[in-house]
Amino acid sequence: MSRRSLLFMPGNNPGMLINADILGADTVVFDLEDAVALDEKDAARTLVRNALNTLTFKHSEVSVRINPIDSPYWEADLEYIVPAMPDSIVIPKASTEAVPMVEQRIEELRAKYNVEKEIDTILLIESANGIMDIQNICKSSKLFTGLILGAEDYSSDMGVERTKGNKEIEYARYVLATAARAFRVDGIDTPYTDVDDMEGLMEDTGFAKSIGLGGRLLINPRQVEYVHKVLSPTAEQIEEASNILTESEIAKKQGLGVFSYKGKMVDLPVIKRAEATIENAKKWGLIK
Amino acid sequence: MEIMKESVSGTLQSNDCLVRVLPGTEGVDLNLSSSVMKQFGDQIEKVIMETLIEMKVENCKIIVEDRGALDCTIKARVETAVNRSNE
Repeated sequence: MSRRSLLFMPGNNPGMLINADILGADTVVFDLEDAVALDEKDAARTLVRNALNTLTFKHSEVSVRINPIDSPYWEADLEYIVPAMPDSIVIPKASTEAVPMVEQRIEELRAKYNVEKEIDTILLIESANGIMDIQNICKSSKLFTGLILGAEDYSSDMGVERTKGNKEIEYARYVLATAARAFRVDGIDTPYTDVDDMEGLMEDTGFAKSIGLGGRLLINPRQVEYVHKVLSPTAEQIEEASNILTESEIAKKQGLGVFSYKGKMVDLPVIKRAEATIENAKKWGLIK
Repeated sequence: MEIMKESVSGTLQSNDCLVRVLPGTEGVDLNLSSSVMKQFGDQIEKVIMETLIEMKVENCKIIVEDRGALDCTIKARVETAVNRSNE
């Protein structure tokens, strides 16, 4: 999927929902969980369903975060949302119990309402057990295309305070990034909560990128541009990827499995990385 | 569907509307006010009435204060208020 930005939008705020598609995020996540008061859950799921049924989303993939399975809301959330055909569902508090339950219900509802469109899931890992058990959680899923780290709940579960340097979540970030790469899904970092500190956001996102996380949850539309700056390939990287693919075609015709580009050896992993760079650059509108 | 008790949904924020439904006996009694009444009053009324028909609500008093909500928002707020009146 290659999602760089997933922008949270409170599910019961019509003003934000109707503007969601013009904010530039790769994915907008309509939230039925933490951003919605307990006595407004019914209003939020009805509003999000009607928005999905009525509005056209041309620029962003649409996802919906439902409530967790230990709440009384998740089944009604799915009953309303699945027929409205979002692109994906975010499963909070992902566990080997929650993921199969939710995914089975999604498939049952698709059959019940004749929904031909496939609906992916994105798993929100937000506990110490979630990090320890991440491999089994991934194996328990049939529909997931992404893993998200939810650092606020994770830190709370760990009994540690969140700090500016994010040292306390470093291990969880490495684990989630590795699992995402191993299962070939998007690795999505936790939100950067200081919405006025764009320099800090870019620096922290740069670290996430350096360890293999290709996407980030966002809580403010102003963060989209800055995260895209960090997580998109540069013009130089796109040009180099394009050149490598051209040279690769020439080498293939000559029967060469490995060739040299600017003095460096190019083999299959490098070619695959170049292909991914070009594919993403096209998807994100960086090249035609 | 019968309106059993008074219920409310929505807000008075921009792009939203506040819907209040109450039990009634003689058809639908709609009281609508909107910041865009002149331009869209007829359309808003149509959405409200169609939603009530879809939900098989034949008798009620409904008060709608609109703040520039889209049709999908008005429909959602009416649906929620009606469903809450039956809880």
